[in-house]
Amino acid sequence: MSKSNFQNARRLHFLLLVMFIFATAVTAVSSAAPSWYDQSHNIFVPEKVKSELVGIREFPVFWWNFIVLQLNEDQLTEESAQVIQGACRNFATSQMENIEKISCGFQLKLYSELLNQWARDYPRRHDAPSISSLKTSMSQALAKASLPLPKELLDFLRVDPLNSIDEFRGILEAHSVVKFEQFQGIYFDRITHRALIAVQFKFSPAQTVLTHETLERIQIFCQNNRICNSAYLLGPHASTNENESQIRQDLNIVSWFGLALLVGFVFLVVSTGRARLVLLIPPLTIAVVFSTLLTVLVFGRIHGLTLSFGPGIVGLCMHYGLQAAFSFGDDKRIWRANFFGILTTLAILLAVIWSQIPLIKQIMFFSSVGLVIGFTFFYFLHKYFPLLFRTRPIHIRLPQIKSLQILMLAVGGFAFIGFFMLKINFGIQQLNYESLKSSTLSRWLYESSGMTPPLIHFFNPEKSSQGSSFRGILDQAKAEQEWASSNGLSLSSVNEFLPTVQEQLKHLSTWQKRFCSTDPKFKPNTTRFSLVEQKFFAPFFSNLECQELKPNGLDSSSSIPAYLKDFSFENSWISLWSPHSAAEILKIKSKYPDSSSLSEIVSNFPKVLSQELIWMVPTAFILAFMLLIICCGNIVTAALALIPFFTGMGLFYIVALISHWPVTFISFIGFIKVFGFSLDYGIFVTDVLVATDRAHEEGVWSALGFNSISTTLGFLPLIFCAHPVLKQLGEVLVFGSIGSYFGAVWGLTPFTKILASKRCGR
Amino acid sequence: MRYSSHVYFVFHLQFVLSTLLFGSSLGAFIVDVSEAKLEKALEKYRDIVTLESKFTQIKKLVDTEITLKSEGQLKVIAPDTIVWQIDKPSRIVVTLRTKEIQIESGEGSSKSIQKFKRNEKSKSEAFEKDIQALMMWLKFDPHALISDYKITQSSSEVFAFEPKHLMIFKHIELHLASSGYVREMLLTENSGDTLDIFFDHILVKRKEAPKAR
Repeated sequence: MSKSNFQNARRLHFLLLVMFIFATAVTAVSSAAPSWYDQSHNIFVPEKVKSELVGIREFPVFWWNFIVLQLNEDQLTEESAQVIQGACRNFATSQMENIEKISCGFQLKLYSELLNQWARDYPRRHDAPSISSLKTSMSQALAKASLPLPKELLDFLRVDPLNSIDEFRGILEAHSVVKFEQFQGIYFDRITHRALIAVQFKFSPAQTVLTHETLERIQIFCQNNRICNSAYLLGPHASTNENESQIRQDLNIVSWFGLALLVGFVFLVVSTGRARLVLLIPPLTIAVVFSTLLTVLVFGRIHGLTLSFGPGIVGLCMHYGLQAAFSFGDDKRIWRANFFGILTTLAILLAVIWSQIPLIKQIMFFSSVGLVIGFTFFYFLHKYFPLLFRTRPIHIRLPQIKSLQILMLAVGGFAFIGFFMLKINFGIQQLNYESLKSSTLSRWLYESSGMTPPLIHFFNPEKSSQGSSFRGILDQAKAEQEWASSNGLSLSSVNEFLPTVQEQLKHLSTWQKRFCSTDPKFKPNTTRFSLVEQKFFAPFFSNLECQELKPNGLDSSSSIPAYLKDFSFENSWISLWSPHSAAEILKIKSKYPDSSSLSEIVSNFPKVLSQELIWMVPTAFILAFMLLIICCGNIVTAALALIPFFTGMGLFYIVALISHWPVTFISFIGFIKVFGFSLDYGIFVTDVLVATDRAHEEGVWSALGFNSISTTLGFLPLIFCAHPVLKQLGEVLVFGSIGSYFGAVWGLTPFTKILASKRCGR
Repeated sequence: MRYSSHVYFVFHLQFVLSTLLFGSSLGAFIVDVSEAKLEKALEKYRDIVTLESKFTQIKKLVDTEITLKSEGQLKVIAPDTIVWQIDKPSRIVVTLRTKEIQIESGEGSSKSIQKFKRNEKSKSEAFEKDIQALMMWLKFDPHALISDYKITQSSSEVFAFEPKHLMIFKHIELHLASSGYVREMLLTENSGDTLDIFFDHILVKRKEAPKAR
């Protein structure tokens, strides 16, 4: 063995050892720390919108879902309604740990904590009744208690002789948003033979494991009776769960396809005597792993979508490795072209990295880091182990046909027209997966039930001029309620449940006068009540302990009552306006300009993205074009190098227009990758066409063909995914890749004469 | 302490006698009751068109040792209406019908009426089971009682009922008056609370027997 061969072998052993240690360490770290993996939906939302949109998801008032039952019978009978109600009550009892409220009956067990606090706060809402009136109420409660009653009801009668439970039930029923015919909390649509049960969960929609468990219980809802044949859940929890399940299902298939493709790639290169190309995979893998680690280090966590889409962009550097592997000519020339290839890609990544949308920012960061690491790896491996990857080119070269050349130029031209013809929709709804069943049911629910979307008014106590605490919230809510009442508008807010501190003080003073006049520090004076009354209503009297008769919200230590939980999240509070006409919306907005509907809040996302793209796209384009001018040394060659990009975009636009595909936020992410590889194609092909020495030409076409086929095949399965995010990405990348390749092959050759007169790549 | 042999003898004799007595009482008084026997015992409730009775009920809450006393009237209207009206300490009227329950409480401006639809076939629901059990008891229907309870008799006028499945009451005792009507009904709830109902002034209207041709 010669000295140089020996040194090469040692280097190779060392390299393999480093790779092995690295792979082992990464496996150990990833299995030990799964907390770095992010699956939340918050990453889609710009910081500006996040506080509102994410906040909304956290307010329990938005945790209402609907159980939809498809009934068997043609005509709804009272009997079947009763059976559903029975089944619903059983379901509620079995799911008590997950259900906050349910429309089918007012079950004391379910509302125990909430109602006890509600009864406790009676003296904060009402003046003290006269002793005789209180005694009458107590007699009624005692008469009820003498009947055979469930224990929880008997216990509640002891706390609530004044029957405040009816007051609470009245408030809840007044805010029922569904206008269908109702039978004891079950809503019926006689036209579609569907029954509807409103259910509010105790957990946030992001906790999909809990949603999944509850869904399984709902699925068996119809199994024990012959009234309905299917049960379905609609609402924020159901939608989040459906999206996550579909992405998981799709990615499973895509992963298997990816693995099959990898095996196929290895088989192909080994069987054609080009086994060395397999060695291009480990450096790329290391680049992805390093990029993952750095992303976690910078962002704290890495999102599943970054891990799904980011490696695809990092995969662009495989092209640089392939160029070097297939080239037997001027290495310097190849790496110079590679260098400008990566610079143009980085130009767009770095322009877009300034996006306010966290997902875009993270994907751009991941891709930029991965590309740089991958490129560096390939460069140094190629420099120090020149024979490591080098292999014979594969003859992948399509014949030059005039008509195809013209066609490709027409396709490229269509990129400009198509941009204006296509329906661009950056709305978040475009990222939402809805099965046909969900979509049909949602449409039915919103069109037939008469539900009107509320206007949400956020209120942050820290920013309030009316106080820096819960007290300020109560004052604000009171002012809102007064204004709503004087204008005949419907408002749901904390004021319906708890008055202002001042009003509470007024009510409480009447109780103190009645019960604590002898000694305000001690127990309430109950001597005017019989021994049975004193004993039976001891829990009620304990709520009247003189020292405890203080208003809620008086000081910062005041705890938020459970019955107000719907309106609060951390330090934020909301109230919900229910306008019934455009005029009412206008009226509310003129008084409370910051109140907005959910759709208005969500529409901020496309607004932010569109505003960003107005400057990002031209900036990235100008930057990349300037780099091309530097690379090619003249504007004409630089402009021609853009042809593969335009043919890629043009082909996608044509197919999208025919197939009625929308251009979405995800398409935009796909465009970035198309931009990256199509400019590479442009640089490499123009470099060949202007060169006098074409020794490396075969290698360039091999790398181009190889890269294009692997990109197209790699992203092809995404087109068949059901989730719009994956589908849209697949559509852009597959047709962008095909168009760019054909653009490089047939779009540039008509300009060979012009290019020959220029110099590019040197 | 040492006992004399006489004391030991007395103790022993007492033990033997009490065992014998207890054994004989078991054999003589606590017997299973057949449907025919129960039907005969409750024959006064057969063919009733209306039944009215005053009652006094005493509820004892075991946890708190509270005793609640109330007075009222029972009205059974064949075939399916039972009105349980409490007059003292406050007026409350519970009307049970096959398809509906109505609870009327308070008087004057504070009067409130709540209506609940019910479904007799929905036996899966605990609430409906309890209502059905109550109706069965207030109608003294022997056919229904025999299917759901193990019935024993400890004297000619005392019947004890143990539910075969979990119900709102874990034990019921019926005491018949010499007139053949129920004098006292003692209901023990699953929580251990008891409800002792004493019936008085029973007025019955029966179907007229068909006249012989």
